[in-house]
Amino acid sequence: MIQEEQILKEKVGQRNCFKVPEGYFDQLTASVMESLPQQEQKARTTVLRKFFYAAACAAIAVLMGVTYYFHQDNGRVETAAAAPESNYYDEMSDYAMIDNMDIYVCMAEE
Amino acid sequence: MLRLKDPKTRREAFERLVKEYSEPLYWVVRRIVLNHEDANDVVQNVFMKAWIGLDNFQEESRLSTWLYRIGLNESLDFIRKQKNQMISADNPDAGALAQQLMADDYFDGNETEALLQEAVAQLPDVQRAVFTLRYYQEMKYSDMSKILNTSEGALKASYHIAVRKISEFFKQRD
Repeated sequence: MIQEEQILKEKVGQRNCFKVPEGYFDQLTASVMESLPQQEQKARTTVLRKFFYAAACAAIAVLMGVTYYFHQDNGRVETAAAAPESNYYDEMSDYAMIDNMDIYVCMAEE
Repeated sequence: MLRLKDPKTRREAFERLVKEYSEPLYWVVRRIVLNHEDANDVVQNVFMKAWIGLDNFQEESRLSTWLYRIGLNESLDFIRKQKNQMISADNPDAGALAQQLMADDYFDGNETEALLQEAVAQLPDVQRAVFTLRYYQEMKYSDMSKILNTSEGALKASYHIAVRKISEFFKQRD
């Protein structure tokens, strides 16, 4: 024990000067237990949480299905998009005011 | 511990825990917060937090260590909030703690014992906790180390500094 601590203990002591109302500790346990939330609240929260997880999974599955469906449609759209390209030479020939056949002959000679 | 983890037996097991630790925990809290009503509120909060946090208790420490840790944290949080309120209210009587205690129905100490409480209340928060655990409860540094998650060396140093400050406080009064 350090000297200053010894002096302090001799001067003041270590007595517990704090008091409690009569019967306080006899009712403390009951008071604490009464204030605790019921276990069922926690169970209900768990069930609700599981429901939301299931709903979220279902929503994601539907979204993926819809995305896949529209992607397949887009394939057809993309094929259709290739068609205008063949019109390009027609437009070019119109602009140049020469027949397609002349263009092909010109390209064959190169 | 198994009975605490099992939802069927949890409440009954927790009640036994409260019965065993509520009184010693109360005294740890009371020596820090000083007032009986405040100590009661803090103890209720401690057990509420313990109940809610039971699933998070990893069993790396004993249950008692875990409870005391929550108790000390709640007590220190309480006095910090109290200090902030006193500072913001610009309370001129903030330094007259000994007088307040002497007037408290649930304090039966003499003036010297009340002055010791005033001296302890002026210590930094963690030093205050270390001093009260060591001086009044003679808690071993090894147990304190587990509760406060601080090395024994640091706790011993903290306690010696606290004792020195309190001794100076009394010398200035004499």
